[in-house]
Amino acid sequence: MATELKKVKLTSSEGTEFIIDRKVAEKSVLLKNMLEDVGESDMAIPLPNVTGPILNKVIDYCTHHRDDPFVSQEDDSKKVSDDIDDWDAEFCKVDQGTLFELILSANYLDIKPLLDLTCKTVANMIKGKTPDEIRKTFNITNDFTPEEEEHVRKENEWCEER
Amino acid sequence: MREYPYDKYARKEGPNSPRAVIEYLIGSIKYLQRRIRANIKEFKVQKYDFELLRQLSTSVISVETLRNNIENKDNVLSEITKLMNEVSLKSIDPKIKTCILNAQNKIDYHLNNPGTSSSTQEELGPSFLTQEEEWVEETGGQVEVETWKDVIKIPEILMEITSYLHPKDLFALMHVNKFFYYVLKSDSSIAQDIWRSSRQLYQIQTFSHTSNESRITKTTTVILRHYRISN
Repeated sequence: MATELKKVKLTSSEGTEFIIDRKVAEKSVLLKNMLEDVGESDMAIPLPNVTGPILNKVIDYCTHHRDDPFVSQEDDSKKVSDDIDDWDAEFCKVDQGTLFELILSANYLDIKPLLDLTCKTVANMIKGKTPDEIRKTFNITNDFTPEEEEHVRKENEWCEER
Repeated sequence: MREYPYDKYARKEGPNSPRAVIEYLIGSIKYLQRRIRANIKEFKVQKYDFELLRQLSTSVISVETLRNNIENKDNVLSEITKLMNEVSLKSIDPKIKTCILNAQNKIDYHLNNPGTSSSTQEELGPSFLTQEEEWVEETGGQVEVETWKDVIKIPEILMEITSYLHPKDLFALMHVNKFFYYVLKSDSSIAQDIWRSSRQLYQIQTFSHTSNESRITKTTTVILRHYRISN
């Protein structure tokens, strides 16, 4: 009980300080390991790879999911991308820049459920689209020459004809 | 010439003073992270590299916290030594090995000579600093700078995203640009994992009914091999 009330200070890349419950911080495997290694300390934990607004979003996510069971790295048995609940779907309604920063932060902080959620969201943006639609969605430049494009198309013709 | 935090403390308090050692370690761990990330970006990796990267991230935070809590340092330094041993054993990159060797020497010297902090004591080669300079010269220091469009190109993220996709979507991705084309048709373990997990997820068993086998090109055969690899 006492552990749940403990607070942890985090500092974003710009130096903004966030004070959160230790239980919320421990949704991040990186922070959990760090807190176990360093032990009791009132000092702020520097997170130079995470900006304040993104850290704020990450904290929102971890707070909402604070009581969810722990998901291990290996627990990948059900890889479906259409099982996003309403809160999570709303959480991911952000611009692409924010979405990708969330992916990077989830990866850096080692928050598997958040990484899964954000990657599922990106996967859903790719699913069922043509190459041109994918390029438009992510603003990717087509760097194939017309000849190369034709070559790639011919190479994969066999699977399109099925 | 850029002055690193290590240079500052080494000059003021001695190269093996607690603060200098801590700054040296922070620099070394960050250098290791950058090298591993660069190898990951070039797909020269094994899966354990991702785990090591995570462990290094934990370590750099632990050491950075020591800046204000020097009394607690010996336990953390011992843990870092263990992790560096692990990285050294698993890595084949000579620059990583050199960096680790120097960092370990620095830690050992400091732990075995806790009373010495004068600038006249033995100076161990600040290898990560010279390598860091070379790194900046080679890359312009741009390796860590990612635009959001490049995020999808990080193998770990790409693998996670593609793990939800149908092979049809993977083929569509192959047509998007050269990066996706070469990554997905390559013979790397990452490409194999991507195709295998997609095939397993959507329970695609066989392509024996394909009527166009005579027209399959060499590249397509590589792709087929990815599909069949776990049969």
